[in-house]
Amino acid sequence: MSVNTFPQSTRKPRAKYQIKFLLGAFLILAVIGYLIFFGISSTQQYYWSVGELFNKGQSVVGQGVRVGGNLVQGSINEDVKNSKISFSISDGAHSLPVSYNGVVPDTFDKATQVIAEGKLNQDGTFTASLVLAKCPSKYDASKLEWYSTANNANINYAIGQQK
Amino acid sequence: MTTLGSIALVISLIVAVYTALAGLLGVRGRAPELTASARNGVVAFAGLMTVVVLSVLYALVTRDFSLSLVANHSSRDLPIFPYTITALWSDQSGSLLFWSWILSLYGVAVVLKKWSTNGDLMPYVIAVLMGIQTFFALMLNYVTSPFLKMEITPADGAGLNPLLQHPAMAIHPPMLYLGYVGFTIPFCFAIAALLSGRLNDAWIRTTRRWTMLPWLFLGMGLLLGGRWAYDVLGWGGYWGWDPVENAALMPWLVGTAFLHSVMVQERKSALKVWNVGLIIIAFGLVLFGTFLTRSGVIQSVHAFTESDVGAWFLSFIALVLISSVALLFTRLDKLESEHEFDSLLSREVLFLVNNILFLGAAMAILIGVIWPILSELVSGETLTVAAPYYNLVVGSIFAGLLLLMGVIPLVGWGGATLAKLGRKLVGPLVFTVFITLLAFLLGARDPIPLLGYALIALVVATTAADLYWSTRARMKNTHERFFLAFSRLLSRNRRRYGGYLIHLSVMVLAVGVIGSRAYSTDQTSALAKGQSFTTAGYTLTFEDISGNIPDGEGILTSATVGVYEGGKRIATLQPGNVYYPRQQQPETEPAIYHDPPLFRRDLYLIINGWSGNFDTVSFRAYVNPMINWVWFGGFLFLISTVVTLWPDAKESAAQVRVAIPEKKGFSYSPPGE
Repeated sequence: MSVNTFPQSTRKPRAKYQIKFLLGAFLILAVIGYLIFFGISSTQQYYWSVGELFNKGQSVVGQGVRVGGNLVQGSINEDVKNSKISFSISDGAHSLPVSYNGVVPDTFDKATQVIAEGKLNQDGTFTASLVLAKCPSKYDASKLEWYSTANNANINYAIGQQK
Repeated sequence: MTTLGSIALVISLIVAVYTALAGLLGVRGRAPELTASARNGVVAFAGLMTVVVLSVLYALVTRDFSLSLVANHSSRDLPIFPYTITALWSDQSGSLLFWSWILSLYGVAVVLKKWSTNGDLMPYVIAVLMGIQTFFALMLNYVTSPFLKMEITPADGAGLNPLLQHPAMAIHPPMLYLGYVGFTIPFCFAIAALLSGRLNDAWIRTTRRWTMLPWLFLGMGLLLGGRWAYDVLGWGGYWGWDPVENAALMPWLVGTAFLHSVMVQERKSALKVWNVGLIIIAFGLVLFGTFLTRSGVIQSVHAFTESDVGAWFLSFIALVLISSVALLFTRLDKLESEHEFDSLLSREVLFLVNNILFLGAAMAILIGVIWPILSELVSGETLTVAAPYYNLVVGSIFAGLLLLMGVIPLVGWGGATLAKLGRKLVGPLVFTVFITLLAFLLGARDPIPLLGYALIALVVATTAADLYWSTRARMKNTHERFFLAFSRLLSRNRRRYGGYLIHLSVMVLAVGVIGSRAYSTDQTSALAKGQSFTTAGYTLTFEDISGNIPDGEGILTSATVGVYEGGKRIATLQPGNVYYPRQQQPETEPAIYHDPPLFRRDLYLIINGWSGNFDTVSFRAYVNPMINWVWFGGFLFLISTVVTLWPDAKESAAQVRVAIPEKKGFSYSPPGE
């Protein structure tokens, strides 16, 4: 039921209000749209394999990226005193040395896949601010579970910890 | 027992299909026996699902490890209550079963309560509800069955992930489910209204409470999840913009928009298309959230369950959205507003802006969540966004919402002039400046947190002032004492004044969020016994550590750390690390010191790691200002929402008055009414 209960004469011209409303709504949407655009373009990070990162070479030094690869067995070097750890990840062809300022979960040495989020340095090493590792599940050998250094436990905040 | 359960599961599929058809055909073909039968079908379906759930619980409790669900999520030494019971929803098929079961119970409640007042709408509601249940029944029977057998029955199960053995984790999933699933009901009513052509405002009045309750549960679920993350996960925070956290937040935001927008429809019979649209979007986001959690499409905390369920869900979501929107389009003519908005500066228009902002926030989050997929489709490269994106975009939109919340109590329905508004703002602005200066003096020096505190102060000023002056006005008229006048005021207009209380509690929470996000510190230090480090004014001395302490299923390593402030010892913290040999998994146990007064801040300490013989132990200390305001605000939110939800006689009477016109024209009497 659509009943117009206001007599025409007491209302201001409809068109004037409609234009104002639409303009206002459009403005708000434009601001939100711009925020989203700006937010994405200024904070998005590439997610590459070791090989892809290698191919990008020096051009991405200093840029925040995520790089994923397989943990190279035996490459883990842990320095508890300085809360540092270094290891290498590779995609079979290329190997990338990663250093991380923090301590990783105990099961890290059994990790298969690793994602490091951070920056590539001029010397070709990678400094990670966050490390995610996929480790085999104890019960089901075919299952893998993600661990994150942000929390030292079997949960995975794959979309970043920066507060 | 499991055979009984599997039979019940198969029958439930048949009942779901029958009931949906009976409801639809019964009301279209004017066959009251069919609609009555459909009503019984809803109850029968709930009964069958209960049988299925009970049989799975029985298998869990009797440690029947031949079932995959039991073997993968419980073990002989897992306490029956609550963790063996809660294992029901740890499993993918179990969680879909839980979803469907809760929905069936909601269905019974709706059918029993609403049949007499919404007779014309109910058969359509049942048809839509059972259509959705048919999807779940198909999934449970053919894609992911709770009765899946193990190839070889193991002697003992895998046990429950120790991270999940925490009281908050026992309640958090049911809360979230009650919330998620509950949004299905208003969706069913909206579609029923569209299908039946009965688009007067009755469906809105009916569903308002049925939306607020799941909205409350979802909000509680979100808070509990955050609390668990803080207490258990050991990273010092409580919200990480994780895809699954976002999946629960998005429908909550749209639900909030809906709850506000329906007030405009109740008052002015406007924004009808918005309201139908909002509930469709909310339900779509609920399904999407369930899909996100159940298919490992985007890595997340909860996605230990990757499977083919994903493809089915996506198809179902597409089907639901496309058909709902198409239906909405065909009924656009019946959804015209009855009143025009006369003034740009009026409560109605501000509510509309509110809709746009909340929807915008939900869409911004959605884009962020699926950005890896979108960017790959568009450019071939996978890109991800993280907390900085969400903090920027959602934070800015929330600032806009705070401004709105601050201004709305001063603007009435039908409009206000800018001059009048300006005059009313003087007092609140003085208060705002005062609070901002206070915050500055107390240590908040950065512009953005200060802006946040200023906006919060504005909201508190205008909202509390409205509550106060309205109570005083009432006291003048009725000569009641303050608290009596206040509670009477509340019950006369729960939407408005209960809403104000909810706003105030959210402000308490917001203070906590700003303080803890903007000013928390994080310091890691490796110490030998006897050494100390300082952080944020505290001096932490590593005093002792011992390992190999048996602790239930695990082995505990516990350190003793003395906390000093200004030379005085104020606390002893014992952070720990428990190692679970069965899952080969360590779990951090944070030690938290709540520093008074007024919940000033938390000192949050964890053990990062240690060298072989404990000669060096690495500690990480977070200092989180105002964080307990978050939990306290959440608690106030719970109370104020319950107060707002409380039924009162006047409203039920109003509902009957509304319902009676419905019975004119074609109607039928369900048996026994």
